[in-house]
Amino acid sequence: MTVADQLVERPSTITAPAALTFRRVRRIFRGGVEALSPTSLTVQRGEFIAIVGPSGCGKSTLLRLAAGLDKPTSGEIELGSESLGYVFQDPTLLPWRSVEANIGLGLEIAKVPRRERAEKVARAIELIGLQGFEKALPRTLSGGMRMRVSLARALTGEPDVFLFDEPFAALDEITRQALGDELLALFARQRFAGVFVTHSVAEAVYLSSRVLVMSPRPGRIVAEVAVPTEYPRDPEFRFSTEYSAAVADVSHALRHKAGPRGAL
Amino acid sequence: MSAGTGTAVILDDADEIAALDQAELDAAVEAGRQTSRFGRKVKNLALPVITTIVVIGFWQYFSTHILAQSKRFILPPPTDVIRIGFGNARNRAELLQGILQTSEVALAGLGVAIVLGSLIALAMSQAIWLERAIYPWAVFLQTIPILALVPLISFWFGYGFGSRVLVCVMIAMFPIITNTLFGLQSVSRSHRDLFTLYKASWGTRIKKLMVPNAMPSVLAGWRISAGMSVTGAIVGDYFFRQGRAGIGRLLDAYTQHLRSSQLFAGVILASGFGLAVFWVFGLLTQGLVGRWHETGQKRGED
Ligand SMILES: Nc1ncnc2c1ncn2[C@@H]1O[C@H](COP(=O)(O)OP(=O)(O)OP(=O)(O)O)[C@@H](O)[C@H]1O
Ligand SMILES: [Mg+2]
Repeated sequence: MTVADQLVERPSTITAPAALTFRRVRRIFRGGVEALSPTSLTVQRGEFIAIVGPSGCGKSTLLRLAAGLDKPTSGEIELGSESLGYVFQDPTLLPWRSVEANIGLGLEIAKVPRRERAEKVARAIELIGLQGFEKALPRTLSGGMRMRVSLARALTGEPDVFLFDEPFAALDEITRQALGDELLALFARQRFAGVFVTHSVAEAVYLSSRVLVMSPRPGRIVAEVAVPTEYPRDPEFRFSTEYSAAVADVSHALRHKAGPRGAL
Repeated sequence: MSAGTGTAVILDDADEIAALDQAELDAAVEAGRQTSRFGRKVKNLALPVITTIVVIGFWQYFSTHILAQSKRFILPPPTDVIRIGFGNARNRAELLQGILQTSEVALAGLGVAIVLGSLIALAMSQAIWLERAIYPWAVFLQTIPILALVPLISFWFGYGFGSRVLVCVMIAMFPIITNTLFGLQSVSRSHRDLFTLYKASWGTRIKKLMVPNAMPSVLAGWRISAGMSVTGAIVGDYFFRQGRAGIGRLLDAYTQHLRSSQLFAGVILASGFGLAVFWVFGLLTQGLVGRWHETGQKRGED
């Protein structure tokens, strides 16, 4: 297939820039650790993808590069939007700030006027179901609630691109599933582009329309599994054959493509 | 509703269990209310009060019944300490004058140490080369015996207020530098990333992240230094021997003249002052960071 053919085949990628593009992005840390070997990927606007891979394979590195928190050794990264949301593995709340002050932090730093800030914070609190806890301090909240605050904080930036670095990893299964459903509801309303890094195959399949599987160090994408089920998805999706098939495919790819060399 | 094949047992006495739980909850809340505050305060106070009474009682008995009259100056009974040391108007005025002078020196020293030490720590936190350049000097300052420097200080700067404050600063600054620096540097990587994502300026980062994050540690430093500054003021006063007399010189004079009741009164007053300073800084810590940080919280409370 020639380049011209490709252009004809996928005109949308030309007219509207993708939400996130990696072109042969590589990251070698000082000391010679190759955390990410040349990786290319594209996330379209409004697309939600997941990345799974063994620990230490470079998932966080990839997200940090996408967010501009780190610079690639070589290759190009293109972000289709200025408004970026990033959710860390731990909630990273400021313990001296109340729930609402934490949620409003980004707006405060961006010098958004007080009135407007209060409105946006209130909306985010409502969206994430934290009414009644506005004045609470993080240490009085449960792990799940703290993660909700973290999500709400990211939401106030009205992101077009949302990066998640194992946000629910520290939570129990029940809270995790509940937050997954909330995230899907948010996605249905806001239609951001999402990149969701996780260790959980089930979570990856449940949330995304495409699961990228990474190999152990040096990290690269070794498989891609499509999850064709349309959004909105509901909890029943977990019992469907499409879901089971996708979970099996991803697990298989993890075992056989990302497995053997990964067994340290 | 699920497509699962396993068997699920549904409990139908769930409501009953919930009712029971509610009763237990109410009982627990009630119990908590009763033992809380007043009860805990009494418990926390009772033991130290009892030990104090026992110690003072034994002290009184020892000096009046065991020590010979001629040896009583070694340990004057508490009644004498109170009657002569604090009861006598002239002695009392002398002591209060002394403690006032000492507290002025200590507070000025602490103030200077806090301002200087915090600025130094802030500078060190901003550049690794500054940290490397300054840190050995801070350690040096801490390790030199200040007493050995006192003659030099008086030689250079005289015997006045300034020299005394300088001694306090030299003694009290190190904990401020190390604690503040530790606090400023203990910002987690993800918090730093968060502020980078928000494109926060240098000033914003310091104001909204580094300083509040450092406060528990900073306040711990102030608390330690406050005690050291009081010691510094007394020691400086003791050795300078000139200028307005503080509690240190009074203690020296009382020793020379074997005025032991007054000596004890002075020691008690100086200790009380140190304790008060420690307590005030404890309250300050509690007020500023107690809400969100454990070190600011009182022990024995949930
Ligand atoms: N700042 C750094 N300096 C040197 N090496 C680094 C740095 N950050 C990450 N690495 C290395 O790069 C590799 C990938 O790290 P990364 O954090 O991206 O992994 P990960 O896939 O997110 O792992 P996990 O699932 O455990 O979070 C690791 O081997 C790690 O040791
Ligand atoms: Mg990671």
